[in-house]
Amino acid sequence: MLERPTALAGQPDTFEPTTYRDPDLVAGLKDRIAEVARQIGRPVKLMHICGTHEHEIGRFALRDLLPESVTVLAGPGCPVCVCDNEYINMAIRLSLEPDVILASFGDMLAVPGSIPLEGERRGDVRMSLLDARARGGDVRAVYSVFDAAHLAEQNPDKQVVFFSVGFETTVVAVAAMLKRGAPDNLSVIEANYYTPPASKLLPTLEGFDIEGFILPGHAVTITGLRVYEPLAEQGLACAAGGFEPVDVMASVVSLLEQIRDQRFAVENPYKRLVKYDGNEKAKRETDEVFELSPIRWRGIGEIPASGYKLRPEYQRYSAARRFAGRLDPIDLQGAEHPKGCRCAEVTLGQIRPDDCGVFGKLCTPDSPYGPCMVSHEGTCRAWYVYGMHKERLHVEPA
Amino acid sequence: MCLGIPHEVVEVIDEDRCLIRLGEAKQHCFIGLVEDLKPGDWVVVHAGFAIDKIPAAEAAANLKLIAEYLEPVEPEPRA
Amino acid sequence: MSNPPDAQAAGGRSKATSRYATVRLAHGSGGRLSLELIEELFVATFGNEPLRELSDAAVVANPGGRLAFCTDSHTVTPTFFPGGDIGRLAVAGTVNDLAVMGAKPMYLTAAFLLEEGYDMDELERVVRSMKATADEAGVAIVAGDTKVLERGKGDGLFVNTAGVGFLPDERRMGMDLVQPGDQVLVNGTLGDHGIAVMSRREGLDLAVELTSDVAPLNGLIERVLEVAPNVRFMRDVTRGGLAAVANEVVLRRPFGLRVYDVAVPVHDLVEQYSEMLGIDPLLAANEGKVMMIVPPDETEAALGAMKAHPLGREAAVIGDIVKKPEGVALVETAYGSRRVLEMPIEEQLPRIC
Repeated sequence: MLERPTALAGQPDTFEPTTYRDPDLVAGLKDRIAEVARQIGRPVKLMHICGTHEHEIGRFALRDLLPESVTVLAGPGCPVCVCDNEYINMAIRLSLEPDVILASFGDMLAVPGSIPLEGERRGDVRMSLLDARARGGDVRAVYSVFDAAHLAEQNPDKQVVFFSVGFETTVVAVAAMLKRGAPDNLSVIEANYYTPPASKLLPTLEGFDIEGFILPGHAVTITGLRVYEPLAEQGLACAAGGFEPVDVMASVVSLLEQIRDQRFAVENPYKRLVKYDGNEKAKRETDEVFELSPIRWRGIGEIPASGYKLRPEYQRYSAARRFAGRLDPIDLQGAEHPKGCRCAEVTLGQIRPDDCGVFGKLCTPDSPYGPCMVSHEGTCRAWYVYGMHKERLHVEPA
Repeated sequence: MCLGIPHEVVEVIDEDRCLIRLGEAKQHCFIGLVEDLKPGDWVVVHAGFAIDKIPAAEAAANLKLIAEYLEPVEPEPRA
Repeated sequence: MSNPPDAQAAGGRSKATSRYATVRLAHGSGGRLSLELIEELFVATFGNEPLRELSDAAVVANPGGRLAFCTDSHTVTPTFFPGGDIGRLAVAGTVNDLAVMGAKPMYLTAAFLLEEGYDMDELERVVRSMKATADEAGVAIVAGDTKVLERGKGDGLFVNTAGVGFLPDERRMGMDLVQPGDQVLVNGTLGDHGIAVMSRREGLDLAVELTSDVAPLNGLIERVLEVAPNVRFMRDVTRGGLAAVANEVVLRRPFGLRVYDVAVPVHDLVEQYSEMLGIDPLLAANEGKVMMIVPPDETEAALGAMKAHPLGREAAVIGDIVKKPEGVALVETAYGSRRVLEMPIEEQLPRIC
C-alpha cells in the first residue's frame, strides 16, 4: 500500500462504524493475508466457532478473498443446532398447554425436536414449534428476553415460558432480567450453552488439523479472552474476531502471523470492544443467577460444565421445575439426529455441508432434515443460501 | 451467535435504560451491564441489550492495529 | 416514497355506512341491504357509468390490441399500514401486474369477502383508498361483488381485484428476449414495504416510522416505453423482493443475473432497520417497484425517463445479464467477491442473535 487509506484518516476520537466495511481496508488486508500465507508456504486450516461468522463470511463472500492455501472452517457456533431435543420437546409440550404462552426467538420455531408429527405422510417427521402453533399452541416470536417479560406483564392470567436458547452472550440478558425481578408468571427453559468447553474438545477429535481459531467477538466481549488461553498453550493460534469484513480479515492476519512465527497467544484484533477480562459486571451477574453444569449437545453428547442452569435461589423461574408435573419424561430424553443427517459432524467442523449425503437434496431450507439447515446460524443453511458449495462463481460477462 | 450492532447513545434514562441511535433509527436499550455511559458513547447491542461500550481510546487503538496490518510485510519472518 | 391521496378527502360517511356500524350477513345476500351497500358505498365512491348500470357484467369500449388479464386476492395484516392500506395495495398491485406486461391498464373489478361484524368505517376507508389509487392510475373499477361470511368464518376482509389492460400489437416483451449484456434497472429503493411492515409487526420501539412504497407504476412504465421501446422484460418486485424476481428470470435460462451490491439503492433507515432485524433488503417485499431488463443502448434513456418521474427519482442500474454462470442470480460485493442470490425460502423471521 503506498497511500494510507482515507478510512484511516478520520479523527481519532470519533468512532465510525462504516470504517470496518471499507473496501480499501479489506483490499489491503487481503494482500497482507496473501503475503503471510506465501511466507508460511503450506496449506493452513483455521476455524471459527460462531454461526454469525459463517453468516457474514457467506454474505460478503469473504472466502473468495483468501488465497487457496488458507481455509476457514465453521466449527460449533450455532446455538440452535446444538440445542438438545429435550428442550425443544419441552417448549412444544408447554406451548400446547392452554394457560401457556411460549415465547421464543424466531430461529427456533422451525427446528424439529423428536416428537413424531402425527397425521403427516412421511412417518419420520418430527414436531417443531411451528407445528405446535398450527395445532393451536400459543407460540410467539420475540426479539429479546425483555419482550418475553413484557408479554408476562401484559398477560397476568397466563404463564409465559421463555425458551432461552443461545450461548454466553445471550444468557447475560436473562440473568440481568431475573436479577432485577421478573414477573411471577414468567419462567425460563434453560437451554443456554457455554462454548469454551466445546472448543476445547475439538483438538481431541480424530483428524483435527486446525492451526488457529477465530474467536467469537461478542461472546468474548462478555467472557474475556483468558478462557481461551489453554488453547494457545496447546500451540493453537487464537484471535478475537469481530463481524465486519475488516474485522474478519484482521483476525485471519493475526492467526497467520502467529502460525508463521510459531508463537501462540490469544490476540485481540477486536480491541475496540473486547477486553482481555471481558465484561466483569456481566460475568458477575450471570454467575449470580446461573451455574455451569453438564448438558447434552445435540448429536454430540454431554459436555461437562457447558450448560447454564439456574442457581437454587432462582430455581423458581425454571420451567422444567415449574411444569415438572405436566412433562413426560419420554420427551426429555435426548435423541439422535434423523438418519442420514450429519449435522453433528458439520457442527464440529469435521465435514463440509456438501460432504453430507442429504445436503441440497433431501435437506434444503424449504424442507430441512436437521437443525443446521434450519437455523440462520447453521452452517448448512449459510452454505446453501450463499451458494458456498458451488465452485467459486466465475463470471463471463457477455 | 452474536449479531451485535454498534449504536450511539442519545440519552441515558436511568442506570438500566437508555435511548440509542443508529443513523436516524432510534430505540430503547437495556444498559444495566455497561457502566458510565453518556450521550455520544457507542455501545454494541445484541438482542435488546448493550453488551459493552466502544471507548474512544480503544477505537483509536483498533484503527492503529489495522493500519499496522496494512504496512508492507517485512521480507524475513521474525525469529 | 409515494404519498397516497387522503382517502377521507370526500368527507363524511356514505349513507350505507352511516346507518350500520358493522357489516351484517344481509349485506351480502342480494337483498335490500346488499343493494344499499352497493349503491351507497361502492357505486357512489367508484362512480363510473358501467358500474352505475348495476348490470350483471360491465360492458366497456375496446381500444384495440391484445388483452392482458390478471387477478389477485389480498389479505393484509394490518389493514392500514404507514404509507397505505389493503385497498391501495390491491389496486396498485393489479395495475402493476398489467403495466409490467407493457399493457395500458384500463378496467378493474373488485370483489369483497367481508366477515360479519367488520367495521363499516374501516370498509369505507378502504373503498375510498381504492378509488383514490384508481384515479391516480387512471383506471376505473367497473364491476364487483360482495359476500359476507358468518362471524368466525373469515379474517375480517379479503379483497380480490382483477384487471384488464390493452397491449399494443407492436409491443413485444418476454424473458426469452433477454441476453447477456442487457442491463438490470430498478425504479428506486428496495425493501421499503417489507421492512416497514416487519419493523411495525416486531414492535420494535422505533422513533421514526418507515412507510411502504405502495404505488401504481403504469405512468412511469409508459414514460419508459416511450423512449426505450425495446425493453426486454419487466416484473414488479413484490413478495420475496429482488431476489425472487432475479431468480425467476434466470431459472433454466442460458444466462445469469449479476447484481452489484454497491449499486442497489436502499434508504438509510431501511438499511439500519434491516441490520437490526437481520433481514436482507434484497429479499424484503416491495409494493411500488419494478425491475426492468433493458438493452445497453436504451439504458440511459430508460433511466432518464424514470428519474424524471416522481416514482423513479432514485432509479438506478443495479446489475447486468451475464453469459455465465447460467441459471444463477449472484451478488458482487463491494470487495469484488461473489455470492449467490438465492431464491427466498420462507417468511423472513427476525434472527436470534
